[in-house]
Amino acid sequence: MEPLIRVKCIRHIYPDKTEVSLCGLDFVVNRGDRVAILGPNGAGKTTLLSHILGLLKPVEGIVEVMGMQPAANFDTIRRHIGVVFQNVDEQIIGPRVYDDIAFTPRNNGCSKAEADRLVREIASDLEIEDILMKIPHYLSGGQRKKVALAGAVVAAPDILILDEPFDGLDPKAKQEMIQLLNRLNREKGITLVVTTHDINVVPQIADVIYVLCGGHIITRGTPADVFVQADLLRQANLEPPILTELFSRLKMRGFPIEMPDDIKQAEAQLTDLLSRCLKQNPA
Amino acid sequence: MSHIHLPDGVLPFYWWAAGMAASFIITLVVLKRLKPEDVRRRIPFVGILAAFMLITMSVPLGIIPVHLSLAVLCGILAGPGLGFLAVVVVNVMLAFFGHGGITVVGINTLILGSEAVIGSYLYRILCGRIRNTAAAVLSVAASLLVSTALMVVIVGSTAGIAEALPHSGGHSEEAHMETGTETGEAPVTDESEPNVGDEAKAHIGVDSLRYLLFSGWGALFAIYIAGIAVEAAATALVVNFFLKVRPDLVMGSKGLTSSGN
Amino acid sequence: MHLAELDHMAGNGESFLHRANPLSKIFMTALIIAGIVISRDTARLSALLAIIMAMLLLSGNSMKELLHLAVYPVFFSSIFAAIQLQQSIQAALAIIIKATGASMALLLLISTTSYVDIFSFLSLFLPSILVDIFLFTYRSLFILFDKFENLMKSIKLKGGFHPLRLLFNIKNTAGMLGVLLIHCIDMSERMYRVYSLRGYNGRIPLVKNSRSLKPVDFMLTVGAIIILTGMVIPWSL
Repeated sequence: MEPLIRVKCIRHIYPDKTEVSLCGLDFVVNRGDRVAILGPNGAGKTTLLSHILGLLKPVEGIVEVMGMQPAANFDTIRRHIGVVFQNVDEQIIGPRVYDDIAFTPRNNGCSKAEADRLVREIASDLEIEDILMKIPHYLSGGQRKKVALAGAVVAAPDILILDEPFDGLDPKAKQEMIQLLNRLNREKGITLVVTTHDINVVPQIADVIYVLCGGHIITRGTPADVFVQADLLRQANLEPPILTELFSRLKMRGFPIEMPDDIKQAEAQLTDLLSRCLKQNPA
Repeated sequence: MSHIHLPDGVLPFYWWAAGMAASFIITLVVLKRLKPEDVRRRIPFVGILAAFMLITMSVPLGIIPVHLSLAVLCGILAGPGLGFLAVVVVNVMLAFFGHGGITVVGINTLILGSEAVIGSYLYRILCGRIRNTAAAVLSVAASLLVSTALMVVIVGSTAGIAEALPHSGGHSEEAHMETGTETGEAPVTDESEPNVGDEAKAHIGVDSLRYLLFSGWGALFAIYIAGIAVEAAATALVVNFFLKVRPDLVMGSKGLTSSGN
Repeated sequence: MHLAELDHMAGNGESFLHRANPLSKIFMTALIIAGIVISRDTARLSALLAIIMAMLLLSGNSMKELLHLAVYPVFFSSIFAAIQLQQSIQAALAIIIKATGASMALLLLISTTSYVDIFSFLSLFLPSILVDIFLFTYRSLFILFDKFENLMKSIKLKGGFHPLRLLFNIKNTAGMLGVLLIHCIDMSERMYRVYSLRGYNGRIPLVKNSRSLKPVDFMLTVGAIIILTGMVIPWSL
């Protein structure tokens, strides 16, 4: 099956002559994937996203989204992609939440009735019906993120790109956002591409991780594969998630455990391990 | 302040109606010249520029009763057309907050807009010939002088220049009455006091200035010169800052996009 | 910044004025301003100003904030009034009352009506691009003002502002404005990118007000007509 997104060794020159490139491993995203992009500031994450969105055109290399070059087919590609940028205040256009969510469907040619249906449907999905008539700048940070998310997915895009979606969220709001994104992926089949610095949420939100460093994609794989490569992660100014680090060290000491995907699995494994230890060595 | 916000009730109807019409026509012309692709790129920028101008107007400078507007700077960065659009929005919003009347929003827009337009063109002409900072100072000073002169002409011409000189005694009241008749405006009378003497009955065009007495102008002139100096200094300093940080935005700029209007 | 307070007043008030239909309030404001501009009688102008102030009181909004905003038209009109003062105190007073009355009428409108409703009304006769600029400006004001406040705090904490040192203040303020302006330009580029992605092409669709007219709307409309009539017709008893 042809990948949904494919990026291969791109180079771009900005108007002020600054040159950026992103090489190394190919960046490939298949339909239905949940992909996380990790890397320090200046690694090339924004460059990568901008090329995928068609905002930048490479002077060298390949960028394909749904088999098309995004920059050359901007108006076509943008209908299949929803975006939530880091600073959602700059992304919310409509004076009321309803207006903002309706913005994309109306621009895509939907009638008022159809746009209304889409807006109310997504508001129900994201549980923001009660704030539809509110003015966005009076909402909390978490609510504004949800509004931006609603505006991004209302037109049922194939791909949802999120740039630092967990930035500025309290732990509860963060968990809500993670659950929301996973539900969108699971129930609506939306492919997720997420950039984040919050490495501890990555196992909950990604099936595939790409690590960028200094304009190169230095590794890719599942969370279990990537997080054991501690040296490579440190090269990219990253530390493995706490759970991963703990389980890695325990495994190196010979304990029979596997890398957990989330805290529940970790708890189950540790409980089992401790129970067996207690049976063998009762206090 | 680089200009006075004209309040409601000062100018006669034909002046503020003409101001509204002229501003509206200029706005339509500017909008018509925008290409669809330009709309996406430029409209958010114009909105932000207008917000920037509004915020600049609330920057305190200390003890002097002036505030910046940076209309010329906006004209330099955005071009004359988009600078004018930003000024339209700024003046309408200011009118809603009581800074300037709603009926005279057209006139206020023409006055402030002239700064953005003239400043923008002047800067383009000068910046290749003299230092950029000096070009900014001269552009600001010249455009503020022009806008101030425009305001004085508009306000002054509603009184008639010949009547601007001080008169004395009854002669002045007869002259007042004649002038009132000539302009077609009825004298104002205070109906609650029917027996007030001649002096009190002398017509007062409450929506037109009859007399520009020099005793008030001295102080105003001093404030204006101070305002122009402050605005020119601030603009030059900001331009200087940009030359160090983002010279691409001001070096012989035609505005932020390649087809600056 | 007053905008934030006014916006908050408009969005959170519970008075009959807040509940009235925006169209009736805009119509009322237009007629009141028409009456102010047309009339030349200081007694009637004063009475109208008193009515406007009474309505502001009834709106339940912060009079302190609103009266603070009244200082601006009083100040600017005083310049013109001072010139008229030598002719007649009434002429001077009339100028001040007119300017203040018109401004307070507009403040009554914007402190009881959401800006969204006002811009929706403007969208009926203004080019859509201009309405969009208004909306972008309004949104940007809130974003930029936070940044501006933080920068001002930073300058003051670092000793960069002194009430009596004009040149010093101008220099530091200019630097701050330069930083803010660069931020503006970067922000506009980011906004351009995201708006393009969302298909923006010159029109932000606004939900038009579909509230039906209530008795309070008829009351405001009729009241405004009576006010205008009273202001312009030379009644004599």
